[in-house]
Amino acid sequence: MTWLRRCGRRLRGAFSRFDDRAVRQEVDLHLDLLTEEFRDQGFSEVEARSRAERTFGNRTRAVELTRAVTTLPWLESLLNDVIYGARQLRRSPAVTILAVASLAVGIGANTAVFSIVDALVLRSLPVPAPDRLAALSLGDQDATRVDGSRWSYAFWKAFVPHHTQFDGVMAWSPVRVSASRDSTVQPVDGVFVNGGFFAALRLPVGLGRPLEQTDDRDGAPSVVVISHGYWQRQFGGAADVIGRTILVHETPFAVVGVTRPGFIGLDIGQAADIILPLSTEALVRGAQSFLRPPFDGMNMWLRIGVRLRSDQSLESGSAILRGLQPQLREASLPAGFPQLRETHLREPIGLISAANGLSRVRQLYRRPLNALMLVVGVVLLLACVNVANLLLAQATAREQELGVAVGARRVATSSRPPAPRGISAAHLRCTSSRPTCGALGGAGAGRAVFDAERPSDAGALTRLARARRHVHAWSDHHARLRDGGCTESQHGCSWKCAEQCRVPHDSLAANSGPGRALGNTDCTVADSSHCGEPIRRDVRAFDGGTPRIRSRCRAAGYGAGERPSGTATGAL
Amino acid sequence: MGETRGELLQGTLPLLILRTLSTGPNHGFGIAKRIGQISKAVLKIEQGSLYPALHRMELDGLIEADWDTTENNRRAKYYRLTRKGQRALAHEKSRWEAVAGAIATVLREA
Repeated sequence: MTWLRRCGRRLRGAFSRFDDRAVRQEVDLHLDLLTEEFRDQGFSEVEARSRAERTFGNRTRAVELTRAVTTLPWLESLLNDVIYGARQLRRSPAVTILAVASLAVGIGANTAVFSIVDALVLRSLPVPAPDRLAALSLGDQDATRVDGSRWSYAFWKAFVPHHTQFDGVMAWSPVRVSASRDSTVQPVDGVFVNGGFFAALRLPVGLGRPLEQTDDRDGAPSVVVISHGYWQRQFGGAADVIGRTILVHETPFAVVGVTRPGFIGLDIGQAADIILPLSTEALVRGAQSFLRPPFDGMNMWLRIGVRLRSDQSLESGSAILRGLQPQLREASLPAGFPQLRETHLREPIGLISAANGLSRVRQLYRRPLNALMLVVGVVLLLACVNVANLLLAQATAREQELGVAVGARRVATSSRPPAPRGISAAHLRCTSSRPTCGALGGAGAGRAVFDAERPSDAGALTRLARARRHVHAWSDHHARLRDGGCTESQHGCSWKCAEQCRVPHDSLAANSGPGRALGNTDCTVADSSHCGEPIRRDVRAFDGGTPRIRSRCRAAGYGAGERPSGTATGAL
Repeated sequence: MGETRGELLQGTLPLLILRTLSTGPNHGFGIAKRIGQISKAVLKIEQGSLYPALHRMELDGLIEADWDTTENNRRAKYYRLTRKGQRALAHEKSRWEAVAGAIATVLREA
């Protein structure tokens, strides 16, 4: 149970991330008591404080490490990064809007085109082994091969006896019917199917039973299977829908089944909300029925499909059909059109795949669709490159903000530019209303982010030396400031903040190792974050106004090499 | 460095804290001061490192803490030993004595 309690405490700690007051209070008390002790030993107030700080070590680091014990540091730093990122975005709204807009256009276009491609080209019918489904098609030309041909009822009647050649045969024909329930008549997309349709497709139903051979006979009771969508829309998904009646063209049909969601028929783009047995076509169309002479041989209205056996391919299936062709044609020649006989016997019947359903639209637009998909893909890529460019430009513009963050962890310095919140933050803020050309210019303090954890690094040593010179100079300057009474009320700056960034002069002189020097400094990103925001402008002002400020500085008696602090602009 | 000043051995700080607290509740500064006093300033702990150790021990249930006021009326967090902490102290102490004794023997004999 201990680990459970531990996890709980850590999580709680992580979510109360701003609440490090308790730890700070402890540490503050410690420092105060230590200062008092040194003061009692006869040191001046300033000296006592700086000795206390040296004895204590890196204060911020202590607070951070202490908090790390009871929190999840990685979660916290992730949260910090997210917040930091959000701030960056808010700071440059133009860039943000541009980036979001280009990504939105790229992603939106891709989603739109892909959903069309998916529905039309990629998605298979929701039945087992859809790749074995094939539709009868006439001729070799593309125009007729696209979505299968249409056939007469007479042809279907001649074809049915040969169903044993395949794993199942089916005929269907989309039809728009007017259906009514409770005296409201609506046009509904329906489809006539043969009795073996469900069996050949292996199409399961979600409720009730599928249509069977016995339903597709003259004189059989009129029954219907409805789609899942129609069930939901018209019956509100009622569980007792089986057995209810729908009037289709004034003829009552009993609902026997509901399809599973996802099946919307074999013809893409044409819903099959009401699935009627083929034999009921006579009831719906009455005297003009396509099932009876003379229309049964003339009207080409049925699509015919087969389910290939596992040992059959489209080619071998087509070969079987070619063999059957003469007798099928002979049996189904429309009466009274002898001139059609020759073409009918000559045109070869073949099979096309119906794995994804049949669609004329798809066949017509497949190539343009693929091209379109490619184009929007490129658009998205360009959008990404665009955004990357924007960010790069922004990063370049921010380069000047890189500065010294003494005592901060290496990761903290590399993951975000700390300068405006580091030493320069407190410093610039404190000089804001004094006509002083501070020796340690904020951004000029050193672009070096040196590596506190690897003091052996020669480059780091050089950079450290440079930074230390700045710090020395600043320390003097800081003392001048304080002697001159840089207080909170005067400068609108938190004195505490400046205090935290103070680097005791002699500590730097006394200790030789860079690690030691760093250990005694006390300024990190986190520490002075409350001095953050307004500084940025100051840094910009400094960079932008250098020549003018320089000349004024010289006039005010500051020598070469001393760089004015940006915020002195207004006062100078 | 000519003086006999010891950087603390890894992992000995908790033992020192436990021992210090076994004489009664104390706050961070008091603990640091006592360790310094008793060891006659031989053991130099970087006082900042005291707090992570204290909080870890609190998390482990070795010590408990309450906010109270010092004699100068400042609010301070007072740590005190728990039962578990007392057991840990006894255990750690005997372990330390065994190790220190062994090392002393090696230094003497070898």
